[in-house]
Amino acid sequence: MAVERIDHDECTGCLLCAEVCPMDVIRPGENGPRISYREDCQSCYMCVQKCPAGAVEVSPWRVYPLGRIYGRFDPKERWIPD
Amino acid sequence: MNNVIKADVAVVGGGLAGINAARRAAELGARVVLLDKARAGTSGPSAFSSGDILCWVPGQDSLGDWVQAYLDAGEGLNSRAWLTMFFEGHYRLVENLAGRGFPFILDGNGNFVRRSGQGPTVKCVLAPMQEFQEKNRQACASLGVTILDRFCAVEVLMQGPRPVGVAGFNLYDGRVSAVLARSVVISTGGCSYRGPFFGQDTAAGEGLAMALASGARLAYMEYGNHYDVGLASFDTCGHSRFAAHGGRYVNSLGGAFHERDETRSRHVYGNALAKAMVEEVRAGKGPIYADLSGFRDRRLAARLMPNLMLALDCGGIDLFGDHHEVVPAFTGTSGASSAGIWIDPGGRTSVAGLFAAGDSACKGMVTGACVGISGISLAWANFTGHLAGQGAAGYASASDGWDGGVDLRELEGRLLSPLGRRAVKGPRDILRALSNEMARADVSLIRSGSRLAGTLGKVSTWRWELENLSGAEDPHELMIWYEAKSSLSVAEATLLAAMERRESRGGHYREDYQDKNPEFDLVIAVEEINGVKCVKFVDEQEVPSVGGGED
Repeated sequence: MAVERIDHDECTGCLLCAEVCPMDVIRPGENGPRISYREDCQSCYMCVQKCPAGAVEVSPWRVYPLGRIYGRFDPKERWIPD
Repeated sequence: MNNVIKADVAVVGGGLAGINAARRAAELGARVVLLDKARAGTSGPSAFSSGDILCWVPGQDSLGDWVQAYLDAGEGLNSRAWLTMFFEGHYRLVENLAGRGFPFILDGNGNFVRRSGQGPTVKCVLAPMQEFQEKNRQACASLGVTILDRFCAVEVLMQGPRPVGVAGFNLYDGRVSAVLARSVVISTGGCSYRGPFFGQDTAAGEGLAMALASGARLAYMEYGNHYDVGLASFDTCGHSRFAAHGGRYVNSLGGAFHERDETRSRHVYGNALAKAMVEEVRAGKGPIYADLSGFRDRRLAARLMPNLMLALDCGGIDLFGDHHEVVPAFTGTSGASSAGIWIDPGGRTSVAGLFAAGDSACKGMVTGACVGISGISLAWANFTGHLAGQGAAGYASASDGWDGGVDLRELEGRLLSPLGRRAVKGPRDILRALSNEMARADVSLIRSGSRLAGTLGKVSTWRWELENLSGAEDPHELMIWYEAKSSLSVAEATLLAAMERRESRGGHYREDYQDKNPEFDLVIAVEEINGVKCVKFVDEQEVPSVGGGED
């Protein structure tokens, strides 16, 4: 679940990806856009949608665990005392 | 950018509510500064929503029937007068916006296409929210609104009891600025903890925490516990909306369970579905899968949610053909809960000069105990944004500006103090731990006094760790440090209110108090006095005095 890479051969340097990123993941760098804070990517695909050159690649798969959503109600979990 | 900017109205947050507020205030002649930590228009959950905007339409719907259905669903915690004002005023606003070229989905005769959803009586108008928000941003710019993107607002500047502006820093260079303004609109952060479902990740409770620290009252915080449904292995939510249009959920045995009568008859919608999912898992029938093969309106979904479709295409995911595991997706406020900053019918908070809108403003006066009504978040953002912009412009024109200076050096010292501090624990780790804790079904969905107290204890530890063991390496991490701080404050308010409501009502369910108790026909408010949160019961049935939605 994160922006994987920006293909700098394809990139036109318009920086629209950095402009629209809601999470401040992509920033303007000296040589075009730079992936600066990948761990904060929300895979919203705004950068992919706005890129005129198809240069941004994002993976939709979640890379960090969601946590224990079912908590003590999940039979697979160890019982947690109150 | 100058370090001190002067304006009539400062608006914090550039989602639908904030942009509406900025545009409306500017239309009324105010000098407006709009602040967003990301980019106004594509920030917040609005731009990624499914575009359902709850809207009563005269001639098609009976106002009396709608108001009564919502009063029944609100279970004694909402107000007839507010509902009437909201339905009528919001329709006027939608009509005005459509007349001015804002994009709504219309049929061949030029009438609004309307879609049903989950809730007591739900009919939504539809709008592609990205297009809508871009037009809104352009409208702000053409009215002369100063838009400051990548500005992380941290606090409302106070002069005694009076708000005189907003302070924060630029995310790229860390420069601290003060926007001095005669009135302030808060429309950022909702009652959320940077949840892991896209569009929700920006919301971290900032507005509520800022308002609370300025002396404003929060209300209905125990209802800041909305659950949608999300896919377990990738990052989308809003699937309960699909379920309203032909999709369904099945357990590991292939059996549908959410269509059982007892689930549908309860007035809690999203949370009822999540609770039914928990019960299936608890009974050993998990995991739960989405079966969207019967989902209608795929073309409409592609128009309304282009980013979701892009994610599916790029990932080679067949959402509508395959069965994907789903989990309860905790969103806090986003997507329809009552919690937020208390407002009156003029969008005013309990602090004069401070206004609130959107998911930051409590919507309990219309939703009461009911959680998860389709289309209510966008409708509320649309309506209260307009209301707050109007109120803030009026307040600014009738009051004197703050003519005192601002001590930038003191401000810099204070706001940037976590920067460069040696960190044993990263703010991101603390925020993620909190987000995971609040998303747990045994903390926020099926509650008990002892578990709430246990989580409150953890929150207190994390707050101590954030203040004493954590810091930030750069302005980006400083933003996360402040997000963690805000989220912890909002979590504390939510847990305290949930502990105080010793009954079950609507979206608030207590295992240790399973029945509704008429002694709790009252609204719970949370205020901060000398840094300590105080909970009190208030009677919320007041009469609205102003309209809304006018040109």
